[in-house]
Amino acid sequence: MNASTHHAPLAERLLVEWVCHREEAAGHPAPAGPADATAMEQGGSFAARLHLRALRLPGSDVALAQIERTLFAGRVMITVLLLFSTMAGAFAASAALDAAASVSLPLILFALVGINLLMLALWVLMQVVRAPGASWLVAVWTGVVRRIASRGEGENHAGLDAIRLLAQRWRVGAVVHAAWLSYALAGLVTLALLLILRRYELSWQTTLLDADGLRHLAAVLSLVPRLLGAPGPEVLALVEPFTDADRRGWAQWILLAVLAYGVLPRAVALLVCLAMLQPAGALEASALNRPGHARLRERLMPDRRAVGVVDADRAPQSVNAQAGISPCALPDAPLHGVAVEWPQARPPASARWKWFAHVDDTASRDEVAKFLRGESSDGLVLVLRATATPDRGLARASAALIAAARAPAWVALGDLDALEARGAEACAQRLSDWRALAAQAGAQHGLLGFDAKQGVLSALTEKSA
Amino acid sequence: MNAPPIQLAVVGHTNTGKTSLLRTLTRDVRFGEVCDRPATTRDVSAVELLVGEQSLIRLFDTPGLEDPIGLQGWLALRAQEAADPVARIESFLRSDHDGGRYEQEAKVLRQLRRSDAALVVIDAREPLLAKHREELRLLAECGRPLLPVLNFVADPAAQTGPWREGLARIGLHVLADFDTVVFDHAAEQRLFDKIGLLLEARAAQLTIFSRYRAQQREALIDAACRQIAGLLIDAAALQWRVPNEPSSDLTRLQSVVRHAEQRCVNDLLALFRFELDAFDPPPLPLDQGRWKLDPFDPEALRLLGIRTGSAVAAGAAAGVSIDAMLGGASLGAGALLGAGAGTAFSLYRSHGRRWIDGLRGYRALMIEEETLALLAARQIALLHALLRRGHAATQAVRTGIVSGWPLPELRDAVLRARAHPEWSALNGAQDAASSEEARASLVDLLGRHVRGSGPAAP
Repeated sequence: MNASTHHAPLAERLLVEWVCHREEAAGHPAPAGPADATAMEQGGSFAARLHLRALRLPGSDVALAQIERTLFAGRVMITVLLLFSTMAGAFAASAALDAAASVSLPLILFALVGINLLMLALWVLMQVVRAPGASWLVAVWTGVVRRIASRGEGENHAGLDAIRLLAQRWRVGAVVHAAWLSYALAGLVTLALLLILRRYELSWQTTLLDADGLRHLAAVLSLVPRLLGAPGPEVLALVEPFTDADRRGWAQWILLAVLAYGVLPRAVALLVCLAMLQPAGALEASALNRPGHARLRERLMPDRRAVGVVDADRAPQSVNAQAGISPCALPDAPLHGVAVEWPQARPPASARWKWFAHVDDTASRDEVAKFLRGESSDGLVLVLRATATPDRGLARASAALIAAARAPAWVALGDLDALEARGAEACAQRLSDWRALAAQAGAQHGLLGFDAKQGVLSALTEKSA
Repeated sequence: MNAPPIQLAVVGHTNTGKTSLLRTLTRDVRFGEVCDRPATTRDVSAVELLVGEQSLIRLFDTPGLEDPIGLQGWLALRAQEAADPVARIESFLRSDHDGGRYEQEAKVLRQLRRSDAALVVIDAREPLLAKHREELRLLAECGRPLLPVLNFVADPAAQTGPWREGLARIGLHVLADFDTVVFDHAAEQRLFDKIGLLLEARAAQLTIFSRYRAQQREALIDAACRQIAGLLIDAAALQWRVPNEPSSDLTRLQSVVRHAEQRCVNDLLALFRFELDAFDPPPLPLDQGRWKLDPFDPEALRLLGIRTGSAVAAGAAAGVSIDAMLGGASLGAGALLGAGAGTAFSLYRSHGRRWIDGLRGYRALMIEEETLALLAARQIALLHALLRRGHAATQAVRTGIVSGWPLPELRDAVLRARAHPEWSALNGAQDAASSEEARASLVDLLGRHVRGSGPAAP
């Protein structure tokens, strides 16, 4: 949509929902860079951005025009329906009063109110069982839109989708109630005019009921009109002879009865439907969570913004640098062993160990280095947890100890089970890093396995290696 | 609100999950590089967390500290600033960092000095060692509030007790448990609350952000439930009218459902911003489904009532215009006629058409209830798993073995759709308006179930 023309809020909202449905059906949002960019530039709430994006999508001007034509057709349909309903009400009232002799009051009431109330009761029942609304209205509307659609628009007509979106039960209900309300109002007005302009012989006619039965019927029908101030059978004569006061009283009664039983219930139902309808101009908050909208949230309303690198790396890679090592078997002579940053490593149980210490902080590191410098040794084994991260600190501590020992050195890794539990790929990567650390620290004779519980050294198993 | 963003440096020993924390807090699986190796992050990178268009928090990902003991030793030699730790750090930052030996550490400390506070990420699976204590002392000397964040607390190997004790001994009593792999929304809320404790002047800003995150979470759950409800209704209402002769329709029907489920999974992953290849569901055991019309089935009778009512309304409204065209002489007879016609049409749509189809040698293919139960259970299990998945997780999503309806009300709501083929988008056409209320009630049901049952254990 490239034009900046102002469109009806309802048409624009329908376009947004139509786009949402189309993208949900496609399984992904449409790739619409310029529309997205415009929505981002505009800013505002997520709903506002969705709205603008929909308006800017390619082809949305055509879709919007189709929706507006559909809405126009719908309005014309409703106008015609209301007109016909009004005429029906007027004709029904005039037909009911068009009697040569006396006119039956219950018959007038039934003509103007009976079917109306019955249909209203059915509508209420449908709301209880949550049945959908009047499909004939939708079918007629769809037929009209298809007929006025241009050749080639076919099933891709946005207006047809708009009808499906609009055909909510409250909206359809509102139209139906409006039609019945106009029927009842037209009947009431016609009735009032005729009663003002002509003289009718109103009467309570019956063939089946006796005098008491007729009185009871009149009393029951007068229950609600009495609340509106209408006189009832207790003050008005039910049978001949009628006075002028009786005639005027029954004329007022029939008008108030039509108002009470025909107009007011439909007016209330219409108000309920209108109250339940969504506001036409804006998307509801819950509608924003529709899958078609929600997937656009990251694109149109990102909740993060990458700033990028603010302090670039200049230091050389340290521990990860690859260096060669020459695996070599352990000598038979007793060895010096140092557990580095592994306080839980058990003291050695094997006679192979000549001495075993723990190194953790600066003081212990200096003390052990001092000891190693004063001792002659056939080999030094640094014992580390395989799951520890082979960082520069460990590399430097290991290098310092190996330098102090001035003897062949190995790095023995314990806790290998825990490392293997991380998966073969992670295990292989970590062992590769340990080899790099061993080489960098000067432990040229490679890696060994270490059983922390037994304090026993072994070659790395094939699984670990 | 025009306050500048809160600047938070994410620091810690190497390979403790700093970038992982950033990924999870930003919901961005592509942020930085995550690898179980030292020195994976070597630059200082920044990312802002937005509420609307306002940047409220700026997070800095920093390289890991690797040799705090060595650096403390080097700093100890510079006795002239020993009385003022911050001056000592500033002096170090102005130096050549021992000829580049402590370049990475300098980056971390420099960024911390520029920030309002730091989140110190700790791998709770690691034992508390002297180097960690030295590291925390070094960071504390920068003169900025520190909030230790215990990562991987959901791992059985986590040693949270010793860490809490150890951190308390060096004066760090406020800390947060936050696993970057096994996500916990409440833990994230607590994390921001605790940052607010350290940065009292910025607490209002953090509260706004925290509330926004909670709203986003609710919206995410709602959107996910809508996605699942859509799949369940589409699958339950799926119905094909096919000839009785053997054909490939059954295979095609199964394929359509499989495709729909995969699309639902893809949409869920996209909603949660995970990679599309993060979940590979096992094959769906779809079986042959055939509609068996039972006129005494309570569900069928209930359906009949609904259809009758709905059609009466349509016909009755049609009667108004018939009345008018007859000039009012019928006095509502047209309305009654219309109501009767509507009822007949409704009966035909609900049952008559199927009877006629049966006589003409056609049958209706549908999805069996067991398969629908499986679809429901699997999507809900996936949703639970995604709600508990941090954006730092690199393993594929696992939901375990699921079967049966997660709750009886869900079964009733889904099975109701079997009688409404017009509700299913998989049938080629969709009557959005008529299915909207069924979808909404299913979304409501799913939402209450997901929120009520709480996150599943990983």
